Amino acid sequence: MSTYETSDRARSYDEVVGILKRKLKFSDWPLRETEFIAGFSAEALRSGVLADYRLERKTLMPPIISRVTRRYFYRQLNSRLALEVTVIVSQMGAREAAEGLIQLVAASQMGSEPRVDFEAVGNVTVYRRPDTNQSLAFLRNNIGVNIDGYGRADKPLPIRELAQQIDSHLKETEITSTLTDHDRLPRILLFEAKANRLKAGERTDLTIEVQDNNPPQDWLFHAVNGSYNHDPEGDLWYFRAGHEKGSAEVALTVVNNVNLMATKRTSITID
Amino acid sequence: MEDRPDPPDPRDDCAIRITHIKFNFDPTAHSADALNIRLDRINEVVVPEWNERKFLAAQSRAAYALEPTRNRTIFIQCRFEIEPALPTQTGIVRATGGGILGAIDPITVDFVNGVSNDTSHTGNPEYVQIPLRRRSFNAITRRDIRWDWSYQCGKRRVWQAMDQPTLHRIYVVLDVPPAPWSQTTPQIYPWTKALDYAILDASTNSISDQNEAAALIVKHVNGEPLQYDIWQGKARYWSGGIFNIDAWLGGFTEGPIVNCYDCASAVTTFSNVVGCHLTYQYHNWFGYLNPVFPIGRGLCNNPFYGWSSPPHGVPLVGVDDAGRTSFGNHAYGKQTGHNYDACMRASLGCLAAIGYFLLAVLVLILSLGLAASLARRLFMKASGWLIDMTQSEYNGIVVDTSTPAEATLNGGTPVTELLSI
Repeated sequence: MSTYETSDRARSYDEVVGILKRKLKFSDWPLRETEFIAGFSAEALRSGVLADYRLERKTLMPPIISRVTRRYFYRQLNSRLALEVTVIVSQMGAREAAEGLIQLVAASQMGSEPRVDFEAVGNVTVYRRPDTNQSLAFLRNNIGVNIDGYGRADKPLPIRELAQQIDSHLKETEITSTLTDHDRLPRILLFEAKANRLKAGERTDLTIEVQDNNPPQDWLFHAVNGSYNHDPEGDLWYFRAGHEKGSAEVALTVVNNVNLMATKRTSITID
Repeated sequence: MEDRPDPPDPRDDCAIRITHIKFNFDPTAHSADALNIRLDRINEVVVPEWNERKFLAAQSRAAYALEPTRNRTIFIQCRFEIEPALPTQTGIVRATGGGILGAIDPITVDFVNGVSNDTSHTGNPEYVQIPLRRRSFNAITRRDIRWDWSYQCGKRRVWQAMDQPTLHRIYVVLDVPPAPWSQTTPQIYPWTKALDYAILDASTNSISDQNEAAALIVKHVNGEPLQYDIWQGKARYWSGGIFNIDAWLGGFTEGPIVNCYDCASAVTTFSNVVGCHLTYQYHNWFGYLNPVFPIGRGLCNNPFYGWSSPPHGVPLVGVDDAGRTSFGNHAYGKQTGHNYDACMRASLGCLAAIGYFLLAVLVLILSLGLAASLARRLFMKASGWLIDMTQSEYNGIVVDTSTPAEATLNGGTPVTELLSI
């Protein structure tokens, strides 16, 4: 039977997140703010638990500030059972990764009675449901991991084993005190608009040069007072000025395969 | 004096051709011209929408909103060239056909150095502003149209056909699409890819009522090859208030398992692109379900049976079974206070279904068919669609509060949450 937090009734999603933080004693979490792991991808684990699974798809969620979230959906070979591993990598630190983990736990329609454990997997383990064979989340330094099972009650999935395997992998990974200029980060060497003054509605091509040791990359753009666009003829990206005079901006975020990101912005004046 | 013919006057032998057409010539307004639109996230619709290198309707797209253009003249702007070019000339152009935008009545065009010239508007004077006096649209539409242009110039007063007809894909929506769409943020101008989904796929073509349009979107979203997440109740196409419309329209690249956040996002986004006014509602403390059909699933009052142990590992358990699972929260769309939910379909008892059915028939008879849209929505409700329902009507059908324990889990109220794409 599902049980519920009855002492506090939230209305909005943000309020639900706030209540969950209080309930899970978020302020007491033993966060390691100055110990960074330089990225992680679930694809790094090909042996062990995931040896019997194939990666069906992976999805990059929209990056938030300096946090990358990517989902990996694994299907067991010769069955419909599946595991979904969501990886959060924060370049800001453990607190930002923990925030992401809480939001992930809160984003379900299922009422639940989540609990936290500081001695199980990672620095912090969050159990969303009483049955740990169905769902488990943990935090190791600046990396958050959530594992959800898609199976049957009579066929438990190795969720705890997978969590321990991932955590062992993370523990063996080199720790660094900062990710600034780390060689596993993608680098945007050049991100410029060919023209930095445009009339409303005019376009300018974007010059982009990226260096990265962990391909493939995802490129994500964001434009203010204009739009980013792809020109299939020249296979290039360009900015189209909006119709309001003033300042415009276009930003490029590059996320690489170990879920580390770099962002660069360029400003344009619309006359 | 030798009897010789006059030298040929170049004004006798001239030709006019159309080189460009702008439908959306003023990006800051949409009551006299077309809306700002894009093809999708990374491909824009470039203005002028038509030039001589475009031969297919799909290469020249424009969209109009019914509400701001009602009882107003809308215009297009066209650029013409005349040969041979003289410092000043005039000609007359017209176009037949035009479908919902109508034929274009003859209009005199001034030329300067061979290029059309019109200083009656504030835009580029090479473009002539032409009223579309014969346009006829009054419902959601996607229609390909064709104009066959002809002209008169020089001393000849006969209509001569221009070499090239112009073909265009015209969309009509009920109102300016509200959030998550925008007319001021270019990246989220309404996408024609979303319009194609909402108009063609969801069969809203020719619908003129916002409630009926939203109802048809609900029906279409619910009919997609998707299934409710009976294991975790988690979203795949919604994340932190952002609807991953690219994955949805790209062939459900996030997989077939969804929850109500996904469905509510899709209903809100695709209804609003055709000019409905839905908001995304988050309803925390939702409760136990009466038997319903979750998207892609059979009759169910125990939505998270995927992981449940016997006897609760099945979708339908006994009425008021205290061991069954429930919705901690839920999400759906709301328009003018009425709910639209594609995440599930009701299983109405015979009496309720007959009640909606009889009401629909009564509405048809008493209104002499004039309230056909309302009647159609009532027929849809009789079939179990959760559309156009007041909150209490919706709660009464979906939520089971028949025991004190069930009532304890109910009691939340929906709040509007921001949705973006």
